Amino acid sequence: MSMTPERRFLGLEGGAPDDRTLLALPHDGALKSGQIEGALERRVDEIARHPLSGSPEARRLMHQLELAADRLQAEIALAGKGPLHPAAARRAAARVQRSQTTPTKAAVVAPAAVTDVGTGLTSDDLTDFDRVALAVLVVSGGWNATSAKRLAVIAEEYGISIVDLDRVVQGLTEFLSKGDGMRGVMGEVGTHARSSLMSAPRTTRSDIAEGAVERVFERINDVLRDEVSGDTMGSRVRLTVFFVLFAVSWMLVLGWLFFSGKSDESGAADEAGTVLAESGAEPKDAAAAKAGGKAGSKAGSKAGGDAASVDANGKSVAPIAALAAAAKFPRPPGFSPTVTPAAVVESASAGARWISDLEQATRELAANQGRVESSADGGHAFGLAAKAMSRAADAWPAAGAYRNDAVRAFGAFARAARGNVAMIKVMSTVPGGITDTVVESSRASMSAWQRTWHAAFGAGCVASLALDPAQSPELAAAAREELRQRSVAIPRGETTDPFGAVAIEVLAAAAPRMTEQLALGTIGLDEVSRWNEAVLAAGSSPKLRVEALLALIDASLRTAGALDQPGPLVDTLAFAIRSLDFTGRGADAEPVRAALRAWITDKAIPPSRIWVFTSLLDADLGIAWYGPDLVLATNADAGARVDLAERVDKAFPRVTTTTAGEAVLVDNAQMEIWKKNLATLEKLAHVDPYQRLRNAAAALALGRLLRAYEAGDVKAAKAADGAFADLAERAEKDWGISPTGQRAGIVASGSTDGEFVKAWNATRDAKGRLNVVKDLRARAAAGDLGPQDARLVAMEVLRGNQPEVRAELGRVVLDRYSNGRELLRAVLDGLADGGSGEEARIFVTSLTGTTVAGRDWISEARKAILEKLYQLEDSKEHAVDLACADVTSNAAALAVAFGRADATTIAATRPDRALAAAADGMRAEAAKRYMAEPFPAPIDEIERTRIARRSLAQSVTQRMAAETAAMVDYAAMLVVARQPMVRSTVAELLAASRRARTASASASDQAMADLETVARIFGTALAPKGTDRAAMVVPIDVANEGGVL
Amino acid sequence: MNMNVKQGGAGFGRSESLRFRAIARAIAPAIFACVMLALAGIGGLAAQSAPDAPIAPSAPSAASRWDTRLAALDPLRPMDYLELGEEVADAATNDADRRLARELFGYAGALDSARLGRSAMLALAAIAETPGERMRASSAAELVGGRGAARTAFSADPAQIEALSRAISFHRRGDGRKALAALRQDDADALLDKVGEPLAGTAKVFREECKAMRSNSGAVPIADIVRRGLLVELALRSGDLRPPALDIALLGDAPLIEIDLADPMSTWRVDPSKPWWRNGHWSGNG
Repeated sequence: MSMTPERRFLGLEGGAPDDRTLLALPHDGALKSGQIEGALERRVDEIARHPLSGSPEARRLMHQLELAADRLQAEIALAGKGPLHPAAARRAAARVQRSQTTPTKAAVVAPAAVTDVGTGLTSDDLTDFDRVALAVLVVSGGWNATSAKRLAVIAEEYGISIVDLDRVVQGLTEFLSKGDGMRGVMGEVGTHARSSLMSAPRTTRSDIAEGAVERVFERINDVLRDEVSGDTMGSRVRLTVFFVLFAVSWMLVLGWLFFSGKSDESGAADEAGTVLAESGAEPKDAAAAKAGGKAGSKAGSKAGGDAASVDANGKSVAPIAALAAAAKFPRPPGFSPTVTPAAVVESASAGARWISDLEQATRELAANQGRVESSADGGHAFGLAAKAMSRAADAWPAAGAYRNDAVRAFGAFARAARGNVAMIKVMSTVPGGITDTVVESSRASMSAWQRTWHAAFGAGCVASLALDPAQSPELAAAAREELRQRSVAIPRGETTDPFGAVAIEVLAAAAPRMTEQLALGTIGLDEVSRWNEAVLAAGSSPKLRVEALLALIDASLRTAGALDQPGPLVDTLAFAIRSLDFTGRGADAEPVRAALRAWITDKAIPPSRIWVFTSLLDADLGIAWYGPDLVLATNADAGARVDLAERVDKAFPRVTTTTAGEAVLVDNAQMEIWKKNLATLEKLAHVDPYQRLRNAAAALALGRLLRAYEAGDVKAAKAADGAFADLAERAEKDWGISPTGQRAGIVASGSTDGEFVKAWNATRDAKGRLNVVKDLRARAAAGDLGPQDARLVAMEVLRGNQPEVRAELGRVVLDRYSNGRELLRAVLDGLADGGSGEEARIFVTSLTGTTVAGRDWISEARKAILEKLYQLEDSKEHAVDLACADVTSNAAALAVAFGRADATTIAATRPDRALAAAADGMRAEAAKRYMAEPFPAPIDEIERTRIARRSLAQSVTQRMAAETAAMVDYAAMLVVARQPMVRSTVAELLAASRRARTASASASDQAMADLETVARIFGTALAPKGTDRAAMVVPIDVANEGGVL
Repeated sequence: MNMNVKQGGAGFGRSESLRFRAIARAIAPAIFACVMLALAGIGGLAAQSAPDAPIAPSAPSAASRWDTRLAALDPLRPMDYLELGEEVADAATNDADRRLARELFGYAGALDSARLGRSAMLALAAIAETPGERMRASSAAELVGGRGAARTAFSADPAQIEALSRAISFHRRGDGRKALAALRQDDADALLDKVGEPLAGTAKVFREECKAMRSNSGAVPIADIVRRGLLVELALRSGDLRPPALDIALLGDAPLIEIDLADPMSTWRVDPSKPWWRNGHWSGNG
């Protein structure tokens, strides 16, 4: 007698039960998806409580239960009754994926194929993904947020991008819209879907072997039970013999185990080694060693291999088996945040109005004894306050100091309120809440980022009330209740900036929604830019900003959407990585380190996404310690992920500081070079613009030198020192040389101006004039003509009325006088008269080497001649261009040193753009620094003045001066953040720099003075190495050699 | 002669000496009054000829209309200074009123640069006496609280450039009549006004030179003028992508307007330590 699994675990009698019986569901009546899932869960619980719950039999039964549940779910889905339970959807998707050995790219149902009603597509034309998508669309009520989210999850498992998913849905929608096309095939679709979704897994060999062993044991079990229950003498004898034999066999086994020699064991090991060698299989350790790129020893003995793979503390140090090449993208992922919309800037500039309105509202409310019940004035006050707060919520990230003033003014307004009704009204004036009537009326027209700004601002204001000790307990309680209604946690402990803490919390909570919409393509990177703008404005400390950025990375990693293809999602992830500080400096290092470890080991994040994430960390030049040996493979298992997390944790820099701060330690020779160069810079002449620009370039080279010292990069230091020496030592005469190397022609010696005119006028016939032209050609060593002769020649070449003479004269000019300045000027002026024909156009083309054509050829011809004239002469203009090129190259190199890897391409030609890239790099670095009190100003204020200066600048030197002013501030911030003790020194340098800028007579002078100040400020960060000043040793972690300022 | 003088000098009697002293005593007050008047006149002239100097205290006559309001001002409420300044500026009929308005705007900006700085500077620009002052104040407004709204860029029409280029060529050839005719085409005159400084010092100089040239009087001999013309034309034709040297040749190397907020006296032209109006003057104690 044998027992079926259904009877053993579930107590079901009889043959094969149907699906409803198996799940203990009613036999009649409609079912709901959740009801089926609930029944399945109860059955699984029953099995789990059974003593044999871990047996293969139990597992098979659970599988059968799942199949039964899925069949019932499919019936509901195809009937279109109610939504599909998420657990069922996930299970179905997973099953479809397992049923395919090699997942194929989903084909798109071509809309053209279903144009013929009734003879269009059949279910055979649909791929498995199409069927799943169809089922999800049907049960979710069409294409909406729910179905989009579900489909995005399933699509990712099929390897389908969001763009392709969009096409699939479009095709299916059209497929569904052809009613007749669907009729008659829907059942077939359902059958196919069910067969693919619900098909039982194929029986493998291991399953067959497992079943055989189980049947043998079941048979033994049955025999023993029959013998025990037989209760006859024969049965007793047989049982005695059986157990005696069983006991003896166990004793023999134990004896063999205890008394067998070690030689046998080693022999067995040798034998195993031989077998391995003969079969040619590579030991796993060796493969792992190769994967890690290390020259590990071949796995000889097992013991030796173990010793090499763990350290003294038992931690694994062997190469991680699952490492891979870093992900490559056609362009570096990331983006530059877009500028604040003009409407927001305009709104923010009216910030004073918000405050005055709030103050007015406060006065009105106070005049009404803080109550609203009995007076229209009170109502007007609340209306005024609500509108002011709404306007502030629209633009607070761009409003600078107005934001704090608005929050303070709102606090005063709230303080004036008396009574419960007034308290409730106060809360209703705060934007972003559920009772926000101002926003509700215009919600449809608001973009998502505006709603986020409103919510963050409102929550921040309420938190300021809740934690303000000056507010009444009643108001504080109302504020806390309001925060609870908004599902925002009340800040605990000591909070210096309640507004920032809560606003950042709201912004962090908005990150998952934002990344989901990014993945679906319903929003763009503008949204992320605005989110980032709000984070920068609300994050008064690096800790708050880090919190938001970690949330953004977390959301990017968890959102269903392609990360391994270029797109907004991976751009956002790269942007967040670039914005975070991975250098281990400051107060924000610990959360970053913990988050890194958590992401790598989190099983909810697929390894393929961690592969992209670790690849981006590797690609970021700002994270010098992260190398290609820390990139996770897409097939990494849990163990490999834990190993990698430990490696990353170990490699994460830990900085030790002293009261001296984090100085840039240099040896004597380096210090001497620095001092010598700085002294040289101060002595360089700065009379002409090109000299001032040269000095600016030299100061930038000094900045590069310091950066190289800091990174310990000897090669870069040498290059920077060489660049400085080249600039400082270049002879004055070399600056103005024409870059093309061409030389202007000179007038022939012995000939005087007007000779040609005289000879030309002496004869009128063509032959005679040809002779005159011949004489012109014969002039010895002639490269130019006098003004009068040149003017006549130009006039005749352009508009002469004797064709053969004109042609010959043109040839002479091209052969002998094409580099003549007078002649070129005469041709230029001759073109002003107009009336020149096709031959003149060809002549100018030959003269300048530039093709001029079209209706406006004269315009092009003038430009070509002017450019040729410009290149022919040695002049101070060339010196200025050369100095600007030096500024460009040194600024771009400095930007690269500050982590702006793209600086060399985006700022290849313009000095102002290269300086902007360098300033951006310094700003990014400064944003990662922790300062209790921003010095010399908050970053957003520095940026504001930088943008203001840019808007005022007209010439290139003014644009340069706009950037260099910001560089001075950022240099000061970087140095003081690391070494607070030099603050007063840096403050003096800043004051001197401001005075110098105000008193400068030229923009190039301003740029030069600024960059020299930058070099001097950087110089304050230098300190002799510990060998010279043992008392001020500032050990910098070895792993942080590539660290940053 | 010398002997005579000595004799004469030695011949002064006691009575003459007393008379001289009496006369000196009689005219001394008059001389003192004259000296004081002269000093006052020199001071007034100095104040008028030094626009960058801190604004002198307002005349009592200008302030008398506003005395009550001025006396009620409190540095804790900087907005009141701005509002009163606007009222004074609106009602201003003379220099004294305008000076008072400037002072009020200055105090508003100095007392609360973060909130009112920009408004104060814009208000100062609105009542500036010279274009230079107006430009400085509007630029300073941008630096104090602007966000890049004041974007200005040099631009020129291609047709304008063509016409001006012809004018430069004719001017170089000494053909002033044709140059002036070219300037009248396609609004080239307006472009000349923009680029007159780098071209010939000023646009007026260029036009005057053209007028002075007789037809076909010969090429302009001055090499520097020729060179400037070539550079300006090339810079105009190169557009925004012009090399830095041409950019400087066209737009110059003038400094970017800068203010030092750490020095309110130079920025706002008032002394923020004396924000109280007492007895017709700004004073330091309330």
